[in-house]
Amino acid sequence: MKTKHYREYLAGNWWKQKNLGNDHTLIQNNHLCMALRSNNNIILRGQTGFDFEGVMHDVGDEAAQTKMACKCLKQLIEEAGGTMEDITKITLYFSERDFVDTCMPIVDEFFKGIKPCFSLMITKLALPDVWMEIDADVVADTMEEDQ
Amino acid sequence: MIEKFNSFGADRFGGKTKDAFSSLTIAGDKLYLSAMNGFDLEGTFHGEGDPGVQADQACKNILKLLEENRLPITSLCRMRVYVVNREYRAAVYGAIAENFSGTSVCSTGLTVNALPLSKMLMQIDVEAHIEK
Repeated sequence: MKTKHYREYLAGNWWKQKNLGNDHTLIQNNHLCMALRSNNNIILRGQTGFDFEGVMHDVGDEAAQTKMACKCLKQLIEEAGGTMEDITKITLYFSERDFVDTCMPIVDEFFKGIKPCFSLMITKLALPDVWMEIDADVVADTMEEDQ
Repeated sequence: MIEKFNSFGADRFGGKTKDAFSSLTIAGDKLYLSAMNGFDLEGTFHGEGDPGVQADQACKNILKLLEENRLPITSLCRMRVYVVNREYRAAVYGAIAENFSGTSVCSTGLTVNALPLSKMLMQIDVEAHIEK
């Protein structure tokens, strides 16, 4: 099965237009995609408070960023032919430990019943306004030809 | 169909659901494990203040999950080891060497700003494949 790329974009262009970060934190014209389907694997970009159009929502509000990231994650998985039940593991990154308290109830609620594996760490993220990021491992139940 | 084993609660990190996450998920020939640390699979924390003891517990969890699913230690392929202080590496890797003797894995080591709870000094993420 040919690898399919979903929602391709030029990251550098976006961020420059929107005056995000200092020049040295910006990446130049990288051709990226938001989701990719390789056989039954669904690979996703790290999802943050950025929406699909490159607008950063909720600067200064880690809980709202978490909601946006979860919502986009679900949509990308579905666009690539998967479902929430296909998530095998989520890895969360927060820029401050305090955000565990404010964001975990949201994550808990969003993934209720899915029971993925779980990893979480506190680390600096790409831009100062990005306070959380979520990675998901997803293995679709069916090959796309079968659908 | 993804198989899910040994659930644990999000309450550990401020959530509510008692069985929010799985310690192990299996999708085809790929195994995914939750980040392992000083918590045992029943939810008791071991090795407060001691990264070596926490690493030993983390490894024991991984070995137990493999054993419960009749998978050999050679299923392990990759580990990512996180410590909150570079000085903890000696103790942590010592415990890993002891527990994972009998195989070799690809390793990535990172020093992170912090882990979700202040008592957590280290954490291991592993990837494993079922041999066919």
